[in-house]
Amino acid sequence: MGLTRTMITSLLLATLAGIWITPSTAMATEQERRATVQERFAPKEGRFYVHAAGASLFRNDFYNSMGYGGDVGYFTSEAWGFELRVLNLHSWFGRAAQGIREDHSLIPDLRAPDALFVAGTRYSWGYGKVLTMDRFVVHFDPQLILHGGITLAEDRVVPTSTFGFGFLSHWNHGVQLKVDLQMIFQMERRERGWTPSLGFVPMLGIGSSPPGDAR
Amino acid sequence: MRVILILIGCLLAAGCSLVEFERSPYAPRGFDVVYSHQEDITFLVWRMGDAVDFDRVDFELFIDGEYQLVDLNDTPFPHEPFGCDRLYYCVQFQIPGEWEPSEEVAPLRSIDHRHGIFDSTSARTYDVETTFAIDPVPLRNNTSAQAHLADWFEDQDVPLRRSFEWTLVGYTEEECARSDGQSWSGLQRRVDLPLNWTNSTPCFAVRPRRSETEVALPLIPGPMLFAEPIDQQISAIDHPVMIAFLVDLQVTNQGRCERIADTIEETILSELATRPGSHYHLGVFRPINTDGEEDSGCDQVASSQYPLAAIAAEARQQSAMLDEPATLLLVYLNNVNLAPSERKLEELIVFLELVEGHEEHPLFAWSIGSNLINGLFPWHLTTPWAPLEDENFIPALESAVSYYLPLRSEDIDRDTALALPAPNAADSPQHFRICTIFPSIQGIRLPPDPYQTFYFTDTWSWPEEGEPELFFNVEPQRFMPYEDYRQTFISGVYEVCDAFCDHPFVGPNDRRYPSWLGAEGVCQWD
Repeated sequence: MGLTRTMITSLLLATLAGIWITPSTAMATEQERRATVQERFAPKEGRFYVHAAGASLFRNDFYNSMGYGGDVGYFTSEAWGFELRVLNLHSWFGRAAQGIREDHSLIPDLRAPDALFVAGTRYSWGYGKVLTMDRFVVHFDPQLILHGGITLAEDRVVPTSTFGFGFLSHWNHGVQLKVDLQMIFQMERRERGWTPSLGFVPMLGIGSSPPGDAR
Repeated sequence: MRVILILIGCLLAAGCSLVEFERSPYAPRGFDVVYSHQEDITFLVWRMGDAVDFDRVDFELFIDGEYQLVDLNDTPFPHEPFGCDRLYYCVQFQIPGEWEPSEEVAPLRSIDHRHGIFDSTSARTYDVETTFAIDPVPLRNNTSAQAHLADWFEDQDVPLRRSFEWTLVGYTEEECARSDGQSWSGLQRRVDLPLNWTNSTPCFAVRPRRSETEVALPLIPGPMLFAEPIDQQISAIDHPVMIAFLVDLQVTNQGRCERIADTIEETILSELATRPGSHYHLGVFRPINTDGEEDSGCDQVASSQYPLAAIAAEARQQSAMLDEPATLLLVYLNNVNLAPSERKLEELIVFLELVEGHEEHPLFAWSIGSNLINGLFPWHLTTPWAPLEDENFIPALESAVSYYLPLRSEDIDRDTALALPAPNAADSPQHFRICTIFPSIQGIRLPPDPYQTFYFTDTWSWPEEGEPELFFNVEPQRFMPYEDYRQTFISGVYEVCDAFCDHPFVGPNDRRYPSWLGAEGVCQWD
């Protein structure tokens, strides 16, 4: 109970800290006047990063879809980064679809997603750290993510965009952990024509970016 | 709006995909099962969705109480899946002997290596006695043939891909022999036949490729037909022109009067010289006074008379020296806007009526005069009088000559015959048929008969000697103004039959006729 309270308190403090040290568009010109609580442990500007990740896709589409893949990216500033994402998805019928297929030879009119190829931007709108279990200090960036690309779904190519929220945390030796929580929007050309679908893509990744001097 | 609300709901519910269920492209459907007694084979055809990937699917048939994997290549008529019925792929498989689909379980199922098993719909079964037959007929003077293959699958829109082959086999004792050991060729819509096959009546045999089931029927030679075009242009005759001027003017100044008459005469003669054909100047004639002497033609004396008899005599004399009918062109000059004396009028009327329609030298009367004069008679041509100084007067005379002269006639009449030569390829013509012809035919002469026969049918026996001759129902153009004349062409096609004339043949639009002789009005070469 005490631990939970400590975590909630830490999270609140971290959020407040994040708000205080939010990089703004004027950051480059008003660097000196930035409300800096403490120097950054892991600067990102001018650095590449590579992440391996596991993900799942939820669309209420009668498929189960899980996969793995990776991100490759580069931060042009502390705030803006650009990345490529490739996910290989394994999709299979859920129990309901399985029953309908066996009984009636019917399947959902959208196809099972097999792979996701997107590119986009990652915007760090803050920086913070949180003390956990009175022992570990976690440095992290809250981020906004926007991607566009395609999904390969059996014989179909499906225009896709994702948008959402991410946490990128920095550890010693340039190790990074991240959690992306994104909505996914797709337009698939089905028998009845172009039809939208909306889903949710949680993703957990681990990777590396060259460590640098604190700033 | 509804979609937006759904999407907002989806966002709150962490996703939705507006899913509808549809038949899987991997689920077999439209399953046709055809048993052919003729071939003792059960033909299976089923459809798959056009999005199917055949690399990830296998098929099983329910045979002898269990599902057995089928190898689509291990069948009498293998063929890879093909597009059919617009939105599907068709898959075909055959089982030797008779196979009855189960009614208890799905007779066919597909195994999608990704999503699992899909059962087919129930089968549509057909029990067919004959699945293919032929009705061969030779074409193009027996150089090729058409099998007229009747394919049950094609007729019933059951997609089946297989090819056929053909050969010629012997025909003895009213039966076609078997094709043991003979070579077969691929059956096309038309196949080329060997030379001289008509020397003996063979049978035309057809069978599906990779099958021993064959059908054969006697191949009866077709008529040997040769078409010839008729393309003849009717030549025109440009009639010689005999021109006479009759001058009866009222011009006070004698010199000017003569200059006017001379200018008109020279203009017409010089323009006539540029026209085709020949022309003969009969002279310039003026009224004769009571003393029998020629007037000046410039002071219009009422008591004088026209020398029309002299003009007629000159015309007769000139036309007697010509081999062909000539035109008498009378150019009448009178500028007075008053009628001539009654005597002159009567002379003109008599002359014009006398010469009009003359066979040897038809009259072409041209009045160059006042409006009153031009309206006195039905002249063939009139030109309004105008002073020489009028810039339009002389050009009007020139253009009148070039439009009207010389008069032309067609060199044809009802006794003109057109001979039809035998086509080079026809060794011994037996019959001929007029396929198309213009103008219409009035009569026909078949040597040695010296007389025409009324043309009542388009098919005739070829004459024993000489060539048939056609006579046409034409109304020839006679003495037409040069520019109004229209060239006439005789055009058409006739077909000569050399052998087997009473045998069946294929006419236009692939329609078959039991006999060429009996098919009145039909030519093979249309």
